[in-house]
Amino acid sequence: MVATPASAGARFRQRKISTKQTLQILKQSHVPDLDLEDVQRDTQQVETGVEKGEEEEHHLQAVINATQAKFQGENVEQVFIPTPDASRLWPDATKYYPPGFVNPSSNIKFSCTVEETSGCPYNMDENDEEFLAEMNGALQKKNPRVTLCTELEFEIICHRFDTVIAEKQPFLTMAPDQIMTYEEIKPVALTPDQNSPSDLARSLQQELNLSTPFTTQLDNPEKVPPRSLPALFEVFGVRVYEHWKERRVSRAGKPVFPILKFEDPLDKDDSDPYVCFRRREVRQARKTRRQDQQSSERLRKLQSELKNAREMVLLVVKRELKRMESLEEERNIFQLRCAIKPIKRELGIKGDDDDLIAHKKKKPNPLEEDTKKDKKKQSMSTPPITSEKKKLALQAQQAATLAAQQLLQQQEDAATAHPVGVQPYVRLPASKIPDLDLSLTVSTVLREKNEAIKRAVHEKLLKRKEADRGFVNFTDDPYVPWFNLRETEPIVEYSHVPFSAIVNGLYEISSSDYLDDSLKQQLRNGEPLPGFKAFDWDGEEAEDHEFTGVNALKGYEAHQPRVSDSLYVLRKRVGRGGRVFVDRRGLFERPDDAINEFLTLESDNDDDVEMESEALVVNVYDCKADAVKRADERWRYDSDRSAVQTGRLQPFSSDPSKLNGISNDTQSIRFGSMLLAKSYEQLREATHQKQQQMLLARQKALQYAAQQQAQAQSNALINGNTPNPGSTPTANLGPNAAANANPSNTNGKANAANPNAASHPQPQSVNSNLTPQQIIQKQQKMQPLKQTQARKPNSPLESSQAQQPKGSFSPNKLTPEQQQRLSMLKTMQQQQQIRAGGSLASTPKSQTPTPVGVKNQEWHAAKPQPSPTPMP
Amino acid sequence: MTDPSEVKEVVPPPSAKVVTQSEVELFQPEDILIGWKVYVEKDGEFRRADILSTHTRKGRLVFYVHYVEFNKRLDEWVEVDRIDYKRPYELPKPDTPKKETKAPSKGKANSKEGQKKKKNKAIDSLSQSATPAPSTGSDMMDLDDLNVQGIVPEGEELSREEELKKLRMGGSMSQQSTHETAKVRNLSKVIIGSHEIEPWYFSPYPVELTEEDVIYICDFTMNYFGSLKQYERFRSKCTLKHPPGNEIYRDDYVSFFEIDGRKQRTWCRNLCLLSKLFLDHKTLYYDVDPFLFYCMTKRDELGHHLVGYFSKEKESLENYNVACILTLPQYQRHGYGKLLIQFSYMLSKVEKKLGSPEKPLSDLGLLSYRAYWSDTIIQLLVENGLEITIDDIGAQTAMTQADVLHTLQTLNMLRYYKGQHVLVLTEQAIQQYDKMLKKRKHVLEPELLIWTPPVFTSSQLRFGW
Repeated sequence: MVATPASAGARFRQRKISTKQTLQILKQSHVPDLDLEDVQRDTQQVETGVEKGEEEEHHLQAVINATQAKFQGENVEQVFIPTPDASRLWPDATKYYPPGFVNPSSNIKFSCTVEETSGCPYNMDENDEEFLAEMNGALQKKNPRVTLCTELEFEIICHRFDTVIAEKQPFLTMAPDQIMTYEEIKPVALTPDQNSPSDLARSLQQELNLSTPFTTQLDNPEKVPPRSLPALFEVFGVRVYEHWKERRVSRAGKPVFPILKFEDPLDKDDSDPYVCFRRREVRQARKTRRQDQQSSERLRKLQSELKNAREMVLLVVKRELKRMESLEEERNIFQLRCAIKPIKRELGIKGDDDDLIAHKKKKPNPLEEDTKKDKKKQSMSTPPITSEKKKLALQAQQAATLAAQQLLQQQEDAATAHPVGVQPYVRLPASKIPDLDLSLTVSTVLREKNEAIKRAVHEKLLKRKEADRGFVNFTDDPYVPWFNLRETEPIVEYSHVPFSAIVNGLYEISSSDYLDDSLKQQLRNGEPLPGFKAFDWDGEEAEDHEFTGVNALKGYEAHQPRVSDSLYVLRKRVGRGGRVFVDRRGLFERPDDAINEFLTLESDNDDDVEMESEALVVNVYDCKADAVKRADERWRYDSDRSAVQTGRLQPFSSDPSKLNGISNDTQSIRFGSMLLAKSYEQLREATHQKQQQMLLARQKALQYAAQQQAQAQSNALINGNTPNPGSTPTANLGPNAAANANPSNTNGKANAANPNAASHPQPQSVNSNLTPQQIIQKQQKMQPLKQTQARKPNSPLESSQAQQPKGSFSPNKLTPEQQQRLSMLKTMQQQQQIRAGGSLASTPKSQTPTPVGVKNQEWHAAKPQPSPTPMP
Repeated sequence: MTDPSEVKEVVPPPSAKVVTQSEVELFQPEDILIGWKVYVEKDGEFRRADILSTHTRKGRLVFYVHYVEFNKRLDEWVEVDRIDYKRPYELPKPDTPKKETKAPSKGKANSKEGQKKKKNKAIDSLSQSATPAPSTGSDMMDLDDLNVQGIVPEGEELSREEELKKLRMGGSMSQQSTHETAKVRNLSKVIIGSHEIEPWYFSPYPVELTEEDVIYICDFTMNYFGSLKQYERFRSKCTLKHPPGNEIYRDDYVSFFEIDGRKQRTWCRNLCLLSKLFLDHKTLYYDVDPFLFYCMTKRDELGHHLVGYFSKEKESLENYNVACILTLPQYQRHGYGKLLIQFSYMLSKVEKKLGSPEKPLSDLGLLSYRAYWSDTIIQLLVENGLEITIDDIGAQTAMTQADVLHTLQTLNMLRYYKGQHVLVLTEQAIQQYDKMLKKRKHVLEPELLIWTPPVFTSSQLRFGW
C-alpha cells in the first residue's frame, strides 16, 4: 500500500501488520498530529478474550471503560469487579493447625501422596464420637480397669471393616442387607493386609527387630501407639462392628462418608454435573502376543528391580540401626565414666586413669590383616628357598649382617613376587622400599624400548622362516626394492623405504628433519625461523646464531636425510594370448637419445614410408608416424624417471594431516611393518586352511582309490583261486594297499614302502604303519610346484606363474584393466622398436622376449628361482 | 442468603430497562416460576433478574436469582421481600434454547462481528485450534481480526459431543452452557485454613456435602469435610505442610511447587474441586492427569499456604501456557495474580515458547492479564531503545504476537503515522511506568527458578487408563 499522509491514514490505513516489521518507538510529544478519532475507533474493536455473554457484563465493562479512559488521559477512579466476601477469618483455625513448620533451607522435594501423609483414612465424625463415648462408658462400668478405646483405635477398626468390604463385597450397594457378619468379617480382617500401611509397618517392625513401632516422617507421632488389630478386635470388635454396620446399611451400603461421584459405566447419561474426573477413553491398542510377552517381561524385570531396591534399603536400615546402637553404647560408656570419676575422687583412688579416656578406636583394616597373614604363611611355606639363598649369600662371603639383611629382603621379595590373588598391592614400610636405580634416564628407557621392538621384529622374521621351511615361496619376498647405491641422488620415493628397511636392513634414514621450500627460502633470506628465538648467555636475543637464519639452513642441509632414490615402479599387464608384461619405472632412464635419433631418422625417411604405404596394403603397425606417436606415448606412461624426479610428486607434503608431528618415514616404517605383519599372518592362516583342506581331500581320494584297487585285487585273487571273499569287511583296505595293487598309481614311493602288502594276510596292520600324512609328505616332495599352488590359492600370480615367471613381480602394482589394455599395444610396439631398431614388421606371434623380459630374467637370476617355465 | 459484597461503585441501571412501575402488585411470590425474569432489589436498586431455582428453607420461600448483566458469582438466594411485585415479570421466551449466559450482544459492533464470524468459522473448521497459533504460517497479522481469545463466536458453539471430544484432547475450559443444577451455587460457605469464604460457583463436591452449612477444607491437602469432628480428626493425623511436589521457585515472599496431576491425583482433584468454586468455565469433566499444577504458596510457621495456582497442559495442542489460573479469593487484590501470570511466562521463556492462557478468560482473568501485559510491554518499550518488531516483543516476553498486538491496541500505542505503523509511548503509558517504578511491587526473579521443562514420553501422554 502506498504511504498516505497522516490525515488520510486514519481512513485508509493499512490494517495488516507484519510481526517482523521494525516499528519505531516514538514518544507522544514527538507525534503531535495523531488524531484522536482514530483512537476512538480502535478501542472499540479490541476484543477481550472473555466469553461473549460475560463480556457485556456490567462490572467488567465498567472496569474496561475506566482503564480505557485512563489510557486516554482521563482521570478516573479505580474500579473493581465486586466479588463475594472472602475477608472473614475463622478464629478456631489455630486449634487445627499446629505451628512448628520449619522450612528446609533447600528447596523442598516431595513425592508422597495425600493418602500417605494422612494417617488412617477413616475419620470419625460426631456420630461416631457419641457412640465411642457410650461404648467406653459401658465398658468402664463393666470393668473399670479396661483400657478404653481411643479415637484412633476406633478409626483403625472401622477402616479395616471398610477395606474388607471393599475387597470382598465391592457391590454392596446392590444388596446392603447382605453385608458380612462379624464372624465372617473377623478372620479376613485379622489376616495382615499387605496394602495397609499399618500392617506393613508392623511387618517391617518384626523384620527389623524394632522395639518401637515402625514410623515414618509422614506419620504424626501418637503419644500412645495404638494396640494391634487382634487385640482391638478382642475387646471392641463386636460393638464397633454393630455400630459401623448400622451406619453403612443406613447409607444403602455406600461408605459412611461421602465420596466423589465418578462415572458409572452403565449410566450412559453423562449430564450429571456431580460426576467428575472421568477417564479419557482411548482406543485400546491392539494387543498382540508379542506385546503381552514384552509387558510381562517388563513387569517381571520391574518386580525384581523393586525387590532389589527394597533389599538394599532394608540393609541400609539395618546398618543404621547398628550404628545407632553403637552410638548409644558409646554414650553409655561415657556416662559411666562420668559417674566413676566422682567415686574415684571420693575414695582417693589414683592411677588407672587410662580407662577414663576415650581411646581412639582402632579401625580394623581388613586389608592389612590379610597381608600380614599372607606374609606369615609365605615365610612358613618357603623355608627351603630362603635357606638356599642364605647359603648362596654365605658363599658369596658377605658380612653376616649384610646377609641377614639380604635374607630379609629376599623374604620380602618372595612375599611380593608371590602371585597374591587377594590383595592388589602390598604396602611396604618406608625402610624396606628398595632403592631405585636413579641412573635410569629417558634415553636408556627409549633405547631399551627400541631394542625390544627390534628383537620382536627379528623374532617374527625367524619364526616365519621356521614356518616356511621346506616350502618354496614365490610371493613371500615378491618385491625386494632395489637401490642404486652408486647413485648420489637421494631416495625420494619414501613409500618403499619401510620394505627396504625391514627386509634388507640396509638403509637408515639419517634424520627426519624436513624443511619445506618456503621455509628454506625464508632461511636463505636471512629471516629467522618463525616462532624460533635464540638467546645468548646474557639473555639477549642472539641475532646471528647457529639456529637462526641461514646458519640453521646450513645445519639442516648438512643433516639432510640421505636415502637413495625411489626404487622402481612395476606394473603388470596381461596382454593378448595371456602374455604378461611388466611396465617398470625407475630402473632405466628413457632412452632419450635413442628416441631422438629414431625420431629424426623417421622424419628423414618420411617419403619412404609414404611410398611403402602406397605400395602395400596399409598396415597399421607399419605406419611409422603412428608408431612414433605411440612410442612417445608409451614413454609417457612407462617412464624410467620416478614421479619425484620428474617433479610431479612432492616427497613431503605440507598437508597438516600428513605431518602429524611424525616424520613421513617413521610413519611409513610403522605402517609398513604393521601391514606386513598382518598380511603375513592372514596369508599364513589362509594357506594353512587350504593346506588342511587339500590334505583331507587327498586323503579321501586316496582312500577311495585304495578301496577300488583292493576290490580289483581281491577280484584278481578270486581269479587266482584264493578263497578270499572280496566283499567281506576285511577287504576294506587302506589306501596304501590300494596303491600297491595299482602300478599306475602316481604314489610309487608309497608302493615301494609297502611291497608285500598284496600278499599280507592283514592289510590293515600294514596300512597302520604308514599314516596318510607321511604319504602325503612324500607326495609333496614329489610335487613341490603343485604344493605351492595349493599354498597360494589366492595369489594373482597363480595363473601366470606357469607361463611367465616375471609375473611374480609386485602384484600390488596392478593397474586398472582398461589402462592395461590401452598400454599393452603400445608397450608391445615399443619393445619391438627398441629391439629391432625401427623395423616394425613383426607380428605379435613372432615376438621374441622383450627387453622387459630380459631384465626380469636378470633379476630372477639373482633370486632363488624355482624351475622357471619357458615363455610362450 | 449471602451478604452483598462491598460495592465499590454505583452505576445506574441501564436505561433500556427502565420499566414503569405500576401501582398494584401484579403477581404473588407463589406465582413465580423458574425462568421468569423479575426485578429484584440489589444494593439499593432494582435489577432485572432470572429466577433460576426456588426452595423452601425453614418454611420460607427463597429464590435463586441471576442478575442480568452481572456476573454469575453475584447470583444469590433472595427472600420474597426483595422482589418487586409492582413491575411486570417476563416469561421465558418459548423458543430460546439459549440461556441468558448467551445473551445476544448488541451495539454498533454487531455488523463487524458478523464478518469476523465467517472468517473464524473457516479457521475453526480447518483446525480445532481457535487461537492463532503463534509463529506458524506467515508473519502477517490482520489487526481487525485478532482472535486473541479463541472464543467461539456466537451461533457456532460446539455441540456437547464436540466439546467433550475437544476436552479429551486437552484444555480445561468449557464454553458450554451448563446443566441446570450446575447453575445454582451448591455450597454456601467454605472454611479454608483460617479463612471463611463464600463460593462463587457450583462445584461437584459430593452431593451430601451440599446440605452442610459450611464445609471445611484442609489448607494443605485440600481435603473437604462436612463434619467438624472429622476435620479435627483428619488434621490431627495429617502431616502434609506444603503442596506435595517439588519446590521449583523460592524467594522471600512466595514459593512455587510443581505438581503432576497423574502422580498426585487426590491432591489435584481436591484442588480442582476447590478452584471450581471460583472459576465458572472450568470443567471437571475429565481427570487431572494431563495437567501440571504450579502452586504458589506463602510461608509461615504453619507451613506453605496455597495462595493461588495455575494448571498447564503437559502438551498443549494450541500453545496454551496456562489452562486454569486462580488466586484464592482470600488472597485476591494483593498482586498475587500478577505473580502467577509472571511465573507462567517465566516457564514459557525457559521452554523457549510463546504462550497464551487458555480461553475463555474470566472477567477477572482478563483484567489481570491485561494489567500484566500492559506493564510488561510498557516496561519493555520504555527501557528498550528506539525500534522493535512485534516478534521481538514476543520473544522477550514469551507473549504470543496476537497478545502483543492486542495489548498495544488496548493501550492505544500502535498507531498509523505518516504511512506506517509506529509504537507511541503515550504520556499515560509513561505515567504508568513511573508509577510501577515507584510502587516497587514484588516481582519474581527468573534466576531463582530451578526448573527444567518436564519431558513426557508419548505413553505418558496417553491419559486413558
